[in-house]
Amino acid sequence: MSKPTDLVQGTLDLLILKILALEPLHGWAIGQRLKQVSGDVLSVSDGSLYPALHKLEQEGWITAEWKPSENNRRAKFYSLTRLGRKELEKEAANWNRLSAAISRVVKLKEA
Amino acid sequence: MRLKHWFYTVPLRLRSLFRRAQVEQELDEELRYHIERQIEEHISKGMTEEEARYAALSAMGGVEQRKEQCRDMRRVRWIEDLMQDVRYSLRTLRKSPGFTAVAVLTLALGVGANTAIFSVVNAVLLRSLPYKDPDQLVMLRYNYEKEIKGFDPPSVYKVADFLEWREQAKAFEQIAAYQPLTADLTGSGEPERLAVGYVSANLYATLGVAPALGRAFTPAEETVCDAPVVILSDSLWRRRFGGDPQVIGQAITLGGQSRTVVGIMPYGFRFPGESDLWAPLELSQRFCRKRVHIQGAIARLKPGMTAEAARADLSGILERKRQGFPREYSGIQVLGLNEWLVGNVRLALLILFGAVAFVLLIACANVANLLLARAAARQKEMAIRAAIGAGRLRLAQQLLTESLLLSLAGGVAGLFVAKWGVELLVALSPPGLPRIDESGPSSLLDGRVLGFTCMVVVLAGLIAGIFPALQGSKIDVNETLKAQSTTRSAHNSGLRVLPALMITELALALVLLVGAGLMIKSFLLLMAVPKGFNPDGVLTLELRPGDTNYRFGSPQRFAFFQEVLARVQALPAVHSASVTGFLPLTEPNSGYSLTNVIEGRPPFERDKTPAFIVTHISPDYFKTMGIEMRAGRPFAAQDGGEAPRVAIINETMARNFFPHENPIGHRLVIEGPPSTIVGVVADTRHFGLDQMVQHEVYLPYPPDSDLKRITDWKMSLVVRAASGQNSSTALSTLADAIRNQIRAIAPNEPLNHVITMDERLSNSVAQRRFQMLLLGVFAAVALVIATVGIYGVISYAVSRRTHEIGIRMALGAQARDVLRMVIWRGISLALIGVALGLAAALALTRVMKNLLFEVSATDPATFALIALLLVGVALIASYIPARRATKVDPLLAIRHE
Repeated sequence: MSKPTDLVQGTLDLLILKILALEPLHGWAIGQRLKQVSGDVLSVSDGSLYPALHKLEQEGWITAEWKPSENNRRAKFYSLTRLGRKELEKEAANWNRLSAAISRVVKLKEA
Repeated sequence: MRLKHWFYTVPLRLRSLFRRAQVEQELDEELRYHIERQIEEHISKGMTEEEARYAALSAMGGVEQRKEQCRDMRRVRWIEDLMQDVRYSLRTLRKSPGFTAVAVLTLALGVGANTAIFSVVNAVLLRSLPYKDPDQLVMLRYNYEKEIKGFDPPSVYKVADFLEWREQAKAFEQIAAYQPLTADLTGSGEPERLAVGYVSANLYATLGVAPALGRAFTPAEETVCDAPVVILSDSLWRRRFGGDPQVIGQAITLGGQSRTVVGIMPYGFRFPGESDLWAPLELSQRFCRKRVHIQGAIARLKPGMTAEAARADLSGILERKRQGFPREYSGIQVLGLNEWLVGNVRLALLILFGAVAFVLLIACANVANLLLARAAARQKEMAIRAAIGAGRLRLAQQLLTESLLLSLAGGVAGLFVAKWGVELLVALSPPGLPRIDESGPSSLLDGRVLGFTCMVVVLAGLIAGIFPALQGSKIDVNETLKAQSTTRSAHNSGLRVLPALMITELALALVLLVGAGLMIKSFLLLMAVPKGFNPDGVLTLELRPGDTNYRFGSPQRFAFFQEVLARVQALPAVHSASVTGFLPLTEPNSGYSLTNVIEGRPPFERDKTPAFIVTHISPDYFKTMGIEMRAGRPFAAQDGGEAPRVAIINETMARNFFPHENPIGHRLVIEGPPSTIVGVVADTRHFGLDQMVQHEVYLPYPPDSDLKRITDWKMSLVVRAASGQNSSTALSTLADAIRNQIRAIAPNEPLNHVITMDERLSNSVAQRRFQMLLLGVFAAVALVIATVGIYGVISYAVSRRTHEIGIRMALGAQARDVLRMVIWRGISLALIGVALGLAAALALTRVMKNLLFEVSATDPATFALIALLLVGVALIASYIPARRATKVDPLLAIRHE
């Protein structure tokens, strides 16, 4: 269910998809990357990350593979599928429209 | 898009379901990896290991809850729940085998009976006929102004009509004609009388069925007289010719004439009726001097043409004809073939189907009863489940799973009941039930029937389970867990439904029982109808010598029958023997409708002309059949032939034509010189016990040469065994002796149909008996199930009130008072059920009016008797638990709390 019913949940999906579009990563690294890229502004609680990942996997947008990680232990790496790329484009376009609209509203001059 | 989506997701769902252990292990490993990395991260930032682990775990916020959330994302939760429910239900059901067995058996009876009846309904009413586009096939029939049941009025115009229709009617692609008759197959093996369909050449094309082997008749074969060809049915071919394809081209002897086999029809094709073989019907009267009759015409409508339009088309043609022959027919019917074939059994089948649905409803109500009582006993379990987080929906789902499982088991068991039931139905079905055997009895349980059974199973599970599920899941956790014992919480609303179910069961059972009661009463009345003859110890055999030596109406033919009579009468075990042209419960030889039948009376007005049956008999006929003389004398040896004409009439004719005078001495005018009435005999039910008595005239056999009509093409030999010789073994010995005597003088006469008059009588009521039997069985099953239901409800109520009863007895109530209290409870519920049932029965039995004989559909005696019966049953079913209640030990009951 990708309906952005609550903004945070929908946004998290978008963020994960975008990060995975760059390269396949495992769960912990996704969390780290998110913090790092957003300059610690966006941090996702470890708890809500995994249900979100599992949901995206079940939707068929990302797919998982067990591979040795950088510290040489087996980890579950997620990567974007073709369906996922389409979904990302859709979500990104949505986001751009939404954020542009919000910033236009925010920038209104007060009389 | 959707499909591509499934391409990705379906394997994932399947993996979640079937590789669950691996999926779980991966989930565990994934989260553990995260936590370990997080710990390493924290340690590298200077935390102690203890602090790092704590921080990592708390950031996750409860590993088990997260796992649960991840599992929810798999979207196969409902399946997992279902499996869990099924496993749990199986366990609980196994733990109470008594309850399970009763519930499954009850449902098996209900489902099985429904499946069995539905398979018959399916074969007879629903399955399409084995012809091409059967919806386009229609039967054509005249409406005669006067109709005598079982007796088609002479119809010399029919061939001409048919040919006109064939030329002029625009509504049809094809019109085919047929005439079902019998003929003897002689030559190799035992002579056998076969059903022959004389058919126009295009019959097969009209029905859209081609011969399996060989060819159909050619149009040329219907324009010559007695074209010597024949087509065999599959069953005759296999039975008589061993299924040998070489039989095509060979000659067989049918009715004394040699005919070449030109084709064999596919399995199951027997039209018209149950034809064994077919011969061409001569439709050109120019070449054939013999009179050809057409009994039926079947036509294929042009595409888009309706039966109504076809009727208008034919009526137009008929209208022109009516000017020439105004009184013969009043119109024409165009009936769909299916309607024509099964029209008169549809009502009976639908009523049986309704009855069996009632049985199922009663069974469901009973299982619901059981489930409710169980749910009440399981309140604690439900409360505990609710307390640890199961929602109401979840509880209801669990309970419903249980009832569906029960009905599934009942359905499987029911299929066995149905298989057995279908075999029984086919074995018991009366000869007149069409289409039941069309494609073999094993094919009765086809896909549609199985689909129906599945539907019934699901419905039964839902009907039986929905109430208990709703009630059982309505749990006040606090109250239930606080209550010390389940006996206290008698306020449980589930228990208020129990009496309602019991009332419903009783009402339904009453409707069924009333229906069965009416049928049984009809049947008893039918059997009590004065038959007018005495069937005990009477053997009958239809004789139709086909040899050219015995031409119809010839002295040789008479001599043949005389010889047969002489030989049979000489047998020691024979009381008397005679021949008759019209045996009761068969088809008559001839009937008349004459305007001035009584000498010296003004002629009848044309539309009031009476019809009467004329039967030629040998002198001992009345003595042999046990028909009583009311006045005058029977025929003597010197009557008949060229002696002065004499006649005997039946009582109905005497009453209607000679109401105030003695008919003896009056004279009847039937073709030629008048016949003097010399006697009056008792009425006989010639056409069936449920049919009106007709006017009948008996004439001596042989007739004189003035009577042109052929009277002896078929004569029935009637033999009464000597007194004390009418046991069934004695009769079968006598039958053999009779066969031997006839074989000695007529080796080609089929003798396999020696049948007692009792058997004929029994066959004539077979259909009514079948309906009565089935309805009776269903009603009996319903009564048993409902009785168990009442018993269950009352015993349950008693067991819940043990405490209260104990207190009452401790306070001085006598056993008598307790008994009265409990029984009154049962009876009061039963009375409500009976009242509702009576009302429903009053409304419903009307549909079976046509199946009843001399019994009103609202027969007060039947209604009263059945109501009493049910109240009595309720009394007994409540008495047993009531007796138990009086044995309650007050001390024990109170201490029990």
